[in-house]
Amino acid sequence: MSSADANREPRKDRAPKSRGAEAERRTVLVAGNPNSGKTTLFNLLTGARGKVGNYPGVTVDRRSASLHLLRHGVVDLVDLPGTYSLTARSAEEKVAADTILGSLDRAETSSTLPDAVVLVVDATSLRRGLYFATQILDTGTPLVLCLNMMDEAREAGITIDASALAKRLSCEVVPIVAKTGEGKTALLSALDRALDAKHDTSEPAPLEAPLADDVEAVERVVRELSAGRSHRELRTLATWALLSLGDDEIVGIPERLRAIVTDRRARAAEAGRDLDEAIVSHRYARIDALLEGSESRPTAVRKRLRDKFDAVLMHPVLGFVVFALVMAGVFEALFSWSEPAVSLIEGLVSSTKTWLTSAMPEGAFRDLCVDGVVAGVGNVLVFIPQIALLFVFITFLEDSGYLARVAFVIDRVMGGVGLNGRAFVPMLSGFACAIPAVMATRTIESRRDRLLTMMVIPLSSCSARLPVYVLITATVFSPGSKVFGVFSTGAVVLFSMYSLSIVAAIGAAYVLRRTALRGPKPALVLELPPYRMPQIRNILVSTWQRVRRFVVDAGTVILALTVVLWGLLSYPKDAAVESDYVHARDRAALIANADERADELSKIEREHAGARLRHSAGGRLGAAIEPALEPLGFDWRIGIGILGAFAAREVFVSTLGVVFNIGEVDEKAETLRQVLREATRPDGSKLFTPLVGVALMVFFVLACQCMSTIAVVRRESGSWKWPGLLFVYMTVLAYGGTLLVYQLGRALGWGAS
Amino acid sequence: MAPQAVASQTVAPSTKPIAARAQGSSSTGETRRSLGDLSVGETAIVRHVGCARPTAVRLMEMGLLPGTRVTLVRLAPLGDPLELAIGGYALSIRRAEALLVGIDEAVTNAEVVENVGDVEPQAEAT
Repeated sequence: MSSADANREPRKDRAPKSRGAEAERRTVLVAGNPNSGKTTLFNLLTGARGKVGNYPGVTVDRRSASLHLLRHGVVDLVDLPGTYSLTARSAEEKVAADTILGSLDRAETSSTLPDAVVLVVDATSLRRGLYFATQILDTGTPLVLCLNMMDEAREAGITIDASALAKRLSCEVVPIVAKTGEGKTALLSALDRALDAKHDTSEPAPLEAPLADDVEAVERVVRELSAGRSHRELRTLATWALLSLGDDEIVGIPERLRAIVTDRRARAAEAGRDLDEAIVSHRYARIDALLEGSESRPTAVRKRLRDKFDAVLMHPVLGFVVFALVMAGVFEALFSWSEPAVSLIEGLVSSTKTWLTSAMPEGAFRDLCVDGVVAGVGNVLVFIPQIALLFVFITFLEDSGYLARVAFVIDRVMGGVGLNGRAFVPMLSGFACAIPAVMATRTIESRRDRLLTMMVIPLSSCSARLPVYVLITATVFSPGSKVFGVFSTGAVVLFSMYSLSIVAAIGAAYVLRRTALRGPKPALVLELPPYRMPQIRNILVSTWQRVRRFVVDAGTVILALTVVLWGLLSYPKDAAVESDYVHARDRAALIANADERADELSKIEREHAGARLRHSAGGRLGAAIEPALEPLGFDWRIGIGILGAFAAREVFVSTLGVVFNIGEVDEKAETLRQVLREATRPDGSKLFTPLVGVALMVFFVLACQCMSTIAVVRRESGSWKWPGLLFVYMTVLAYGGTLLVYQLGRALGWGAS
Repeated sequence: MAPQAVASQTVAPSTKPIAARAQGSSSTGETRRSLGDLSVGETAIVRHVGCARPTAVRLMEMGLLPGTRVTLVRLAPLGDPLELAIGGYALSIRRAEALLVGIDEAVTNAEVVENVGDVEPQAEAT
């Protein structure tokens, strides 16, 4: 966007692969309204290649890929998130204005400003699309306007005179159908021509008084803040500020600019004028003049298919039935379809461990590789099936137009607890696993709504809690026991735990909305797009990108945390324990009978593993926190189990196995249940009474015991502040809730037996 | 704060949407109806968008401007939010916001939803 760029001679027939060209590669931005088929066009142009990163400072995906043009060679194509205008209320929405114009302090980003913009609009709602298009044109950046979904427009009887429109807008206008590739060649040559053009620095069209006075007053301040800009850019920044500032959540706006905007708005209000309305109406009046004679629409557009679908999907009764069925399908898929892939990954990880154990020389390095690194990689990979499945579903629902209807149908229910209709799918997914669910919050537009959803998802009773419920229930309740003589105790316990998790999530949302995430409830402004057949390529591409980003970003943190946790539970080694172990093994090696010797050796291994865990930093910590756990009914052994569960909740079961010297076990192992049932406190009373069992399950419902969740919330919220708050509030909630249950239970005399 | 000054011009300062609903309760004292008062199938012309500022700007930028024809297409199964047809597409907002969008008296009880602009997708074969 610098003037040097604009004045450069168009480069002809440059070899596209020349290495030296990279430094001066042109950047083309692909922008457009949501639901306009922008992603489909991006995939069509780039063949679904490309890399995904973040826009600086915000958690907004930035996709980029290279594109070969006939005359301009290789250019960088960058995807801008879907938006209806440049106007912003949050840092996320400010990305559009920043990317097209650079920030107010332009020096910082000028090198990456786009040389041209490809704007995708839905030809069936051209008027709305032109709002954004004229905003970009006003900046002076060369623009190629893609009229997408021309097939749908034709069918609806809408005719658009593209050449008349091109003349009036003074930019390239290309009718296309992104899903079939129609118009691709015309688009590429239009882009070549657009890149020949310089940025337009001519004077913008004059505004009428009194709006002109307001805009010019703001322009003067912008000029001081951001020197060297054309009048067109200043005009755009000034109107951007007038529409965006005030009641916004944007940080880093110079106080002078805020002051002038507040001042002009106040003056206009005194004179009985609404500045917002004046600015937006002015633009739409221009658009209506542009469209006069270049677009014709039938007065009534038939939409039989949409009517048919809507009649069922939005029906007061049937709408809910379909909704429930679709959601049940998503849930079933996350829960059970992912199971074979999860088992396969777990199998591969455990055979890798076995193989490495036998292939590497015994020692600390082997332990690090096997129990730290390989286990950590396994902890990352094991989430992939659920993430992939959820995003296949979400992309399908989104692209088909049904996800917007889901929000429409359920918004009333979610609104009651201060959440947005779009929060439903992520919340539901949370019952399978919080990791994909937190990632799915990206479908929620408002940052505050997104954070709120992210903060309560980990309370959903995820599938990793199930093994814990199963083990505890089977340990503390006898198998045949019934409640009210009808329901089996296990079922009642499970039902109660899931209910508790829902109540806790609703309560937490209610409280957070009024404390940490205080603010006006964001309004719902939701486009209900036409029903469309999703493109398989789009689904696969966006799913693949999600998975890859998870592995790269959250995965590295999960891996690191796994290694740290392994270190805590393995070190420091106690010299006495190690020498006892060596002696015991030496003695056992003398046993003549092979079977007896093997038994003795494995018993020594188990005892040694237990002793080592108890003497490790984590084990000592578990013992050290016993006084804090006592009021909850837990002892130090359960404390170590809880610490171990930070790797993943289900690890609680195997950690208990090690603590109680019975080695690796699963939740169905009768030996573990037996040992737990017989475990006693120092005074000889039973450790696992039904009350302690229930207290422990309540703790597992409420506690944030999953470092992968922490890692993914860190990644999706963009700072450590939110995972920090999440961990603290859930820990306090878990401690308080468990304390209440145990102490109340004891007071009521349920503590014994 | 200036933005609120603008918003309160047309809507009684109370944040309760119902206030806008009662006739003559607004500061100007004229008879007012809002988008929230429309029956399903009715069409009206928007006169003023009096929602909280960020929402008002957004709605106007999406084409819900004074002078625009709007049809109430349907209500969600639980009665809220509302589906509106404006200038070529379908937009959904909550009743709370709809009550803050002032309209001229409903103009038609149109049988055909005008200009919804949605067309039969290619996927009809499925």
